[in-house]
Amino acid sequence: MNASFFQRWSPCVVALGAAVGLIISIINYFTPGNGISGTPGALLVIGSTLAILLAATVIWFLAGRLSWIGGTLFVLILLGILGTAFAGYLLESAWLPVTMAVCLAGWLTGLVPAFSRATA
Amino acid sequence: MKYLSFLSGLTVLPIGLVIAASAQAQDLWPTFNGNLQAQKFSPADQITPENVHELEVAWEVHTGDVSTGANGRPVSAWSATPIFANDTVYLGTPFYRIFALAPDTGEVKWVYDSDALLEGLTQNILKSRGVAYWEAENPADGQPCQKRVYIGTMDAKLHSVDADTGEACAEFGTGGILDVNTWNTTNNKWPLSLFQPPTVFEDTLVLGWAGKDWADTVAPPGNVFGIDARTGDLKWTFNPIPADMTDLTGTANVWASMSVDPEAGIVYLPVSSPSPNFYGGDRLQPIPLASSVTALHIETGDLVWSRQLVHHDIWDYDTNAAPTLIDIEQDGKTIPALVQTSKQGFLYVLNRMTGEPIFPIEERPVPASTAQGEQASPTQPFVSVPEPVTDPEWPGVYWLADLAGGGYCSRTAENLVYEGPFTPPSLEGTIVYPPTSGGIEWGGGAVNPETGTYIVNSSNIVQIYKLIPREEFDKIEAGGTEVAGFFPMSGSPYGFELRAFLNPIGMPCWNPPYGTMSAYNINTGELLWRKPFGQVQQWGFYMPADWGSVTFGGPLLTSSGVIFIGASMDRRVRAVSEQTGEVLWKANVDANSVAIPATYTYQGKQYVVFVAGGNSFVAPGVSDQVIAFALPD
Repeated sequence: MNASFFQRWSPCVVALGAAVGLIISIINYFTPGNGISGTPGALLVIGSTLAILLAATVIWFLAGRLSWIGGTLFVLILLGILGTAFAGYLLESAWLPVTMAVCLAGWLTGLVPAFSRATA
Repeated sequence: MKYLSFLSGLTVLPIGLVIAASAQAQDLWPTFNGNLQAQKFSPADQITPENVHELEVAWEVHTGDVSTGANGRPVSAWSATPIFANDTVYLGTPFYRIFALAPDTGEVKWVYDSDALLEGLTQNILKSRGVAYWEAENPADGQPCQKRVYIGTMDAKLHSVDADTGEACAEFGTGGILDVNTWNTTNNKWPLSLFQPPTVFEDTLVLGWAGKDWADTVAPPGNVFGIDARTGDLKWTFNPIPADMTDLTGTANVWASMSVDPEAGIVYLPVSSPSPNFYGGDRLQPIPLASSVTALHIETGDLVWSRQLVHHDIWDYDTNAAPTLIDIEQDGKTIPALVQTSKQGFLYVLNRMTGEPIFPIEERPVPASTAQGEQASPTQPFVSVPEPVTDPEWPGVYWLADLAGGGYCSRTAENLVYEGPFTPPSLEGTIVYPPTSGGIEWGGGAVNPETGTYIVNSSNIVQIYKLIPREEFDKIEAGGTEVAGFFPMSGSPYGFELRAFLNPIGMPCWNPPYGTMSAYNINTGELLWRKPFGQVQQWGFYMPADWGSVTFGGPLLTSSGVIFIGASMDRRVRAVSEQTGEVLWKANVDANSVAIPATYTYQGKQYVVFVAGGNSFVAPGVSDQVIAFALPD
């Protein structure tokens, strides 16, 4: 597997994790009696997972072009992943941190091309 | 101060005990506190510490009686204890309707609508603590209303309803409705709101009421009424305010539940503070029955004894829960006792026949007032055993809250007055701990009469009390418009500001825990365990468990050693081990369960029922949910 493989699949894995996280967050927000339905916290993670999903999609479309935009989004995604995972922990939504772990795995694979260039 | 005037006249009532008194034997839950002794104890033992984790939802009902505060209708606050009697679960709602439910399915048997005015006549909130149940000792065959359910309304109407059919009982009051406000003849500034159901013993209803706190200097005196359960006729009135002081003060009402010693025929009243609640300069004469626990003969309303728990109350330290009655074993002797919880965090253990303390109560010097005109009492009663539920000193500034608030907490604390417990309200602003919010609130405690283990949940809250000179206050409330956190105490030289000590982002400025649960051996007064209880939930986020939670509502205790409780700021109900304080089970509900749960056994199966109605004072979110849990078949 070469560096472009990771560059191509990293945003896909992030987007997949974010999409599942978004679905879980929406279910959490609208399911009565789960302790967090209708709360600002549950709404916040809907927004954050959606933002991660959109950012990962943009990176995928850019495919290495406009690298400053991609780089900025790449960093913001990490902040989003960590923040959403922490929010999910405080919401006691057990599966949300799991989805963010998937996102983080995808994000880390995105570092491979950079490491490859550094060690070439 | 203590009064003893009627003990010699006590008679042991020969009549068979009413249903509430024998609740334990029949495994019912026929009163607000489980039984007349306010023990909140059930002999049920099907649900144990070992199997409680298997609990599942048995049934769930939504009454439809919920208000978010939209459309001009006040927000609802539902703190009803479900009543189980007559093979039926009865509930009073914040819209003042009665629901009769099948105990095993939750199926609605009937609904009674009081057609009450749903306006904030005394409190800008639609509030109910439910219903009371009565049944005739010798029911007349074929006659209606031999079993009844009573519900009160904010507009001072007490309704009597046939427990079998939901039809009004015509012989009670006028067409089944008693207008209690017709007895509101002194300082009639607002109606006597009946949020708390009456206490029922034999054929007498003992009725207290709630009013409009912190608004006026002169207010209705806190009369308690003894009422004929069948007809609604007034049997007696008990007035805690000296007759020559009604032009100066008022209230000292009984707004919380009461307890009854069925054998002695004594009702025990938690009497609240006099008005105005935070300034006593215009009522310097003693009001010995205010802020007290008071015993009356239930048939006549005659005073048996009274013990004042706060002298010259200027902190709104209402006695706010029914005392729990229990026989204590000491040195081979059985002592008829009561345990009175309090906002100030003390547990007063008294001989319930005489009012004498079983564990010492010590008068200690307390700070003087600096407000012009005020003369705070030089001493106040302190209890050391059982150990108070709150620390003697306020918890101090929490570094995290201070950091998150950019130093707001420490800066503010430096400019506030604090000289220890009972520091009077001041013009500078006083740190009060525990404040009017408790300590221990109206849920009170639960006791296992077999083991003497006493369980109580409590809050560690810090509030700031500030007196505001009248002229300055009038500018704040220009045009008479009420401003949140400000209370007029009209007729006194000061208005009042009351607020929790929070940083700018709403985080408590003081060190956690914010709430705990404690277990005592009430025979010895020994503290068995104390643990943070509940969780604070802010914007949906659960804060660390060791912070605990402010709690409103009480526990129940079963003979198998399981405590069931809602009460916390998160939307959860829990089962806790009586032995260790460990949380054994928890479940999410639709809103805060700011109530006392109920448990009963029906057709061989034990149910635990919670009302999850919420209270915006505790946390946002309201609901109309009634939810029952049971073990799987």
